[in-house]
Amino acid sequence: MVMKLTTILLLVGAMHLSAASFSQTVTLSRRTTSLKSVFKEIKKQTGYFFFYKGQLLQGRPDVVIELKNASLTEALSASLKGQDLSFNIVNKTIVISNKENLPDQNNRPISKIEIKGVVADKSTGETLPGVNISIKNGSSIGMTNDKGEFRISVDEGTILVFSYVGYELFETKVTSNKNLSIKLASKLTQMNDVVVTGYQTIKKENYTGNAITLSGDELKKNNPQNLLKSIQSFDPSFKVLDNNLFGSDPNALPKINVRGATALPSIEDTENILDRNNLSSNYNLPAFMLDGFEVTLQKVTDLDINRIESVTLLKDAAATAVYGSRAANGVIVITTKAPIAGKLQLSYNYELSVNAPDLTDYHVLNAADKLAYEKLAGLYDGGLTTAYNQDQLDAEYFARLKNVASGVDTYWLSQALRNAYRQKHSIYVQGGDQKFRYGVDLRYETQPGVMQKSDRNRYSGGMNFTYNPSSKLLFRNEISITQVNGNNSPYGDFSTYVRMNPYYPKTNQNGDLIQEIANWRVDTHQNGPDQIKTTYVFNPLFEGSLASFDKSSNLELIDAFSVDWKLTPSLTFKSQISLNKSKTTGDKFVSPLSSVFYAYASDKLNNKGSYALSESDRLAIDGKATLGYNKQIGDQYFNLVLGTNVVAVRSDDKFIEAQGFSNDRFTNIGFARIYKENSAPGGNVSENRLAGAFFSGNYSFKNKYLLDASFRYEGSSAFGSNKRFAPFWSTGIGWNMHKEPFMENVKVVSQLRLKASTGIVGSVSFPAYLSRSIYQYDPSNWYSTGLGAQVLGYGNSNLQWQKTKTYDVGIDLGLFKDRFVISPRYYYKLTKGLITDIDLSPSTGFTTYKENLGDMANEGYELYLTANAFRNKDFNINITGNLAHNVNTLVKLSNSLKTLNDKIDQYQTNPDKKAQSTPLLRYNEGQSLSAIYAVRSLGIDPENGKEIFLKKDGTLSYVWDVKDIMPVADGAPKAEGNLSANIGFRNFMVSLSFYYRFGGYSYNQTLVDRIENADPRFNVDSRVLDQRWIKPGDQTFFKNIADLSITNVSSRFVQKDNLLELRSIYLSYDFKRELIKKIGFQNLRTTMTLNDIFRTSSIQMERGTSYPFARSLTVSLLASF
Amino acid sequence: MKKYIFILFTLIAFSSCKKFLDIQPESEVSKEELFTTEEGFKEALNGAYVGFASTNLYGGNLTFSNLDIMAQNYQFSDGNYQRIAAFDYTLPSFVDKINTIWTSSYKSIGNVNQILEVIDERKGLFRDHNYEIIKGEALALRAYMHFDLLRMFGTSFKNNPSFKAMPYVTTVSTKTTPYSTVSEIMDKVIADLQQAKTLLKTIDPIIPGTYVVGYPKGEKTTELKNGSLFLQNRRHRMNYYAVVGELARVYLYKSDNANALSSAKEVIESLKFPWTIKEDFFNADVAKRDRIFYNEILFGWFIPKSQDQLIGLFSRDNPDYSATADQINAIYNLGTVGADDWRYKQWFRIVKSAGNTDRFYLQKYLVNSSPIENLHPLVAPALRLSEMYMIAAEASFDTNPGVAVDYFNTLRTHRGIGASLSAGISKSDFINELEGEYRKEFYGESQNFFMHKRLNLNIITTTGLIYQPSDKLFVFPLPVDEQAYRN
Repeated sequence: MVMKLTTILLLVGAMHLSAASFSQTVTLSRRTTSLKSVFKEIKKQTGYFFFYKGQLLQGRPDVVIELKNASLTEALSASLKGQDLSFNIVNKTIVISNKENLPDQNNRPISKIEIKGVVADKSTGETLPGVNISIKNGSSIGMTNDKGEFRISVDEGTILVFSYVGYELFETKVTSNKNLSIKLASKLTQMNDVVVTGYQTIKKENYTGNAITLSGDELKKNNPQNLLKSIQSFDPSFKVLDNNLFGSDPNALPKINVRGATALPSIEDTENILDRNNLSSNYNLPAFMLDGFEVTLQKVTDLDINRIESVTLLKDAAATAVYGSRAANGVIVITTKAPIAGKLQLSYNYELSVNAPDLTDYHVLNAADKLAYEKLAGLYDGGLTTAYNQDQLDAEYFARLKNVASGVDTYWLSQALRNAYRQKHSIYVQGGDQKFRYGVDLRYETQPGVMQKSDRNRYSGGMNFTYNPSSKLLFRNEISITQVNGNNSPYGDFSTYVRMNPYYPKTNQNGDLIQEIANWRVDTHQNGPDQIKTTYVFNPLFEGSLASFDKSSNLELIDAFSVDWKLTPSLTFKSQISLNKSKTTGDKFVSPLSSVFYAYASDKLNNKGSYALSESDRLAIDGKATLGYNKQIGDQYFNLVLGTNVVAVRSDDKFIEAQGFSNDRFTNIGFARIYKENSAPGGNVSENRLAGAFFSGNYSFKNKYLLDASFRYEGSSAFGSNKRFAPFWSTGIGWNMHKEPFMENVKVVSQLRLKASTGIVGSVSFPAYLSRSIYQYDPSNWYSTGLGAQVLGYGNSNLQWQKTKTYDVGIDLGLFKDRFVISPRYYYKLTKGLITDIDLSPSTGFTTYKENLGDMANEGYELYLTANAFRNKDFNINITGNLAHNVNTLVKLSNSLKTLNDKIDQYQTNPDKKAQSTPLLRYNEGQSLSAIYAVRSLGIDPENGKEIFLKKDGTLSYVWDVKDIMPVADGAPKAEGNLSANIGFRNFMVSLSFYYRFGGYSYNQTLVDRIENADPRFNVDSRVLDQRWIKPGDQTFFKNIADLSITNVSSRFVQKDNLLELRSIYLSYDFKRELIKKIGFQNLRTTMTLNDIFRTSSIQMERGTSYPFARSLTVSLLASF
Repeated sequence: MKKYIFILFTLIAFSSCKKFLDIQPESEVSKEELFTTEEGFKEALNGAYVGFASTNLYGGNLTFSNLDIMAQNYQFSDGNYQRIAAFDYTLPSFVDKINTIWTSSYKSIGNVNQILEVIDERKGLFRDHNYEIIKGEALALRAYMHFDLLRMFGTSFKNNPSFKAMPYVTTVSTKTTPYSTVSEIMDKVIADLQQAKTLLKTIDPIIPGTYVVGYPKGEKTTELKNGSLFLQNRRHRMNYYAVVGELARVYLYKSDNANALSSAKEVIESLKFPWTIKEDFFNADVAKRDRIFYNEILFGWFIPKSQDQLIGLFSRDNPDYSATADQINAIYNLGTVGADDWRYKQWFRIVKSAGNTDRFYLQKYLVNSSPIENLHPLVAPALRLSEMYMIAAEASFDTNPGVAVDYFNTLRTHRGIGASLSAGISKSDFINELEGEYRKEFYGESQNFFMHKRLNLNIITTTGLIYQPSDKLFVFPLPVDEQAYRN
């Protein structure tokens, strides 16, 4: 099917190549011939039609004509010479009439004047070769030469039109001025005035949807290393969730949602529900469209920011309904730069970043304090343990004291960290003429992480051409190859270092790393020989010194081909096809010397060391065809598009595990002795398809009254066979009030637009075969009479899309010629038919099945503010600010989510799950997905150092009960956003960008895990020594220091989460053009960006627990030749 | 022209759309796809057996777990096990296990029903007698599982046949099936078994004399000789004699002695299942030892995956389940007739312990580690020839005590017990003797509990504590989820 479609798309595109071969010039050589045959020949050559009254040509004398590559006007003038006829070109028709019918022209002397001039880029001043010059509504009369100069002769009063790809049209009336200097404005600079929806480009002024458009340069300025964080700075409703676990790990993928979550996690996905972040936002990821085709989040994070032309965030239904089932979480449209014609231009960009680990949130004890704390915590009290007698404990203590006294005070935190230097070179070459333009880009980027040996290196190359055989046809092909190699640090989890005791030495007397630093005996309270177990403390640095690795490699090839065919000036047919193939391999080798195998059974010593190999192949084919209509008729402006698209994605994963490596040197999987014990190779193939047809229209009347409407009918393979297709739609209205006559007198207001939209969009983010009854073949399902297939679950063939209905209203208010622009927005999103598990009586043979049941709402407001605070010739200051607030509410839930709460209670209280002190999310109607669930606490009783709990019924108790858990606070901030300032002075530019949030709450896990529940055998937060209850009367935050029982989740640790971060400082200098031209440059700019410099928070908590955060400084040099 | 191209394009795109969106998964098979071939039906049936033989059901919970504990076969120091042995149905881990049994049973019944729902309309797909075999076995499995659920979650037929016990599920749907009474379920079980019997009667490959039961590596056996793997190892599947044997068991539960006797006799008189000979049972070479009376098994679940669990339960140092020496000596009547009982001599490993009482570890399921393999594969016995003898004995006692005592004595002779009962024994003494024999024979096989329930017998612990028979003891509580989510 896909192939069939591809063929059609290509055929349709190619079909009218022949129609395009008309030329604009005429070559004629006739001794004596009739006027009629001359006209016929001209028609043949140019495609222009002739129009005249029937009898007009009768009795005209024959003509003698000799033309070579003459322009149409020249040809016509020559052929009508002495015929008493005149011509007039209207669109593609030449009207021939008697001269006496045009008295005015007859009477006026024709005054051809010769004019010359030069065409240049408005912003850069570069001259532009190959610019087309034509008479308005007439034919082309010339082009600029390679120096951008032109020389033409035209009638005075003619309107000349200069057109050039990538630039706005420029019109000028020929006056007596014979020396013109034409400046063309690049369309780039106009970008903030249009919205790119991926299917249409609509003037922002006439658009009722909610969209934010950002240029690649703006984004790069803010954060050259992290595109997603940069987007967040411009629109806080695009929320990159804090990843407290993975900090600034270059290999970690962020979690993102736009305007809140719209999907619930699956119950089978228990690990996800119960993870510390509580909500797996993979379900709520927006769709990323790169040059018209959907790509993965991974692809976006690996994108070369220099290649980005613009990023558009589409948020409400009016903007996203054409994306149908992919739109519920918003759509991010990314376009890359297209080559610009002109002489060969080379630009080169170099970046050097320094990333330094940020450990300011860590406060651990030093060696002496740590040992003192251990003593206080009773670690050397023989009465508290059966694993040691008092003499042994004393020996242990003095051995450690000896270390402390001899000066061992290892700062473990910094041991596996480094300052990482990232380098990036990218080159872009572009050139060509009006007909054929090309661009070639190359990138080399190494991005080491702040943990030793962790990195992510990206290499990419791309080629991009556009072929424009006539003004009607445009072919574009873009091919890119990207190789990304990632390495996870063999030094392990950062939290291991945080927990290491400072009195442990790293090396022995010889300076060699010690593997087993210490061990202790633990009473497991089991009977028999297993009662006392030895636990080892391994040196994590030793792991890093081994040959172990954990790497991934991804090779991706993308080819996108498109044909634009202008059927008429207002009607364009466009067809696109893209192919995205990627292959990822993962290799994880654990050295046989690793601590993992330290206490391996003595009969299995030859099975030490392991290797896991995984391979994933993904192929996505995406094709679409659209018919666009773009026309102004009187006061009415139409921008309509009708189209259809198909997407097919197939991925094929395989993995195997092996073990038994003889030594640390032979790391190839070929050296493995056996497959991993009790394991079998694994694999999975999944396929997803989608097809849809859509209409989207933007209409405006007098630029005042605006209407947007879109409709999409779409089918997806993921849905039940009974509900495979669904309609999506949206509509929006707007009013440009400032264009009304009554507003003309209000001088202060330069812009006032009111708009509102509503619509329905969907999402399909769940496993592909949920709607079918599937039989699974597991190789372990072997019965003595053959392989067995077992049914996996009940496939609900009525399963359908979850639909999100959105309402959005907004105002754009510009004051003082738009020096101040304020844009408030309000939205309400109601997701109906959430796909959730429904519990069944087990006697049906199934315990749950999937059904569309449950509603969730997101409501919020956003505010955008731009102020051009000061502006003069040399100096300007721009201030922008934004603010967002979102409230999420579970409106209706299925029965199984309610019973899931009981399972979560069990999980919470099960000591094996180690989640007793972590707030876990529950699902209750009326509550939010960001609610923090805990038992209410009144603090510590000064009398006895015990925590006082407030039970559900309002009574007080010292006993923590899981049944008293309730929502105690909401994690969603009252508001969050960014503030930034841009200051330009001559060739200098400085910008600052702050992020803030306030009014939300957070659960301070550090206070629980690292202070109250801290295991005294490991290093702990320094607050452990003060603020603890010791004697009656102590007013403290923490409970009795001698109370070693586990602290369960309580509201005591819920703290206000107010935050101010200086996310970015940017500095740039553009070298003076005159200066650099002498040394061969066109442009030369140096910039410096500092990211994540400063942070102040109302909550003091360890951040980046598995991988630390980093601060960075990037210096870049941008040169074009 | 241009318009037509576009219309044409749109038409082509949409006409094939439905098909385009209909993806057949590759690493799995959709239900519709599976049941389009005979192979698919076979795989679905094998899959059903895998489910029944899983550790949640007969490869664990229903063969050597709580039912066996409640029959007072072991002695525990662990508090939780003690509570199970004391019929404490409030113990959370016990409740969990009961819920697992319920859920897994109906899940496996569902697997069978998926087959039965479509098999008749696809009759044309099948070669030879595979239609009859698959349908017959599927019906028999459905009945077998429901009957065991009834023996756990229903009242006994004797006590309260009109108790609304549980649903007898025959369809695949998210709609719940209404509850049936004990006697209704019995009727449905019998109906399914009778239908299975009819289907398998003439065509089951186990019936002809050419099918010779024996150890896999035995010289005479033909159990692994069939060209089709699907038709080998009939005794690992619901073969004809298994259906008849199960009928005997069900009729006896219903106190229908005449039918119970005729069914049991049909199995006995087929002479298909030879008694195990002493040389095999006592073979000094562990590789050649029959630990389980393999040849006497009419039907057993193939459970290699339970091996690890069995090691944990019975054979590792300090296993989960073990009995005291006194307990085993009492069960096997060491003081009276049991001194030479083969089972006593072979099934237990005596672990001497200084200061503490000696303990007996069960050896029945012991699997030799490779390369020395057992004489037989690891199976969970479901129906045995010995049970047929005991059913025949119990069913014929009222009408013909002499014959009944003969059946009983025959069984005992093949267990090494020389002393025989006399025909003049009273009914209650006879039942008492039978109960003792059930306990010996089915140690670690969970049938003893059901016998107590069927006949309302006291349950007596090793410490002499007597539990009076009552529904509180014998009826498992229904899972809360079952009640909560009925529709």
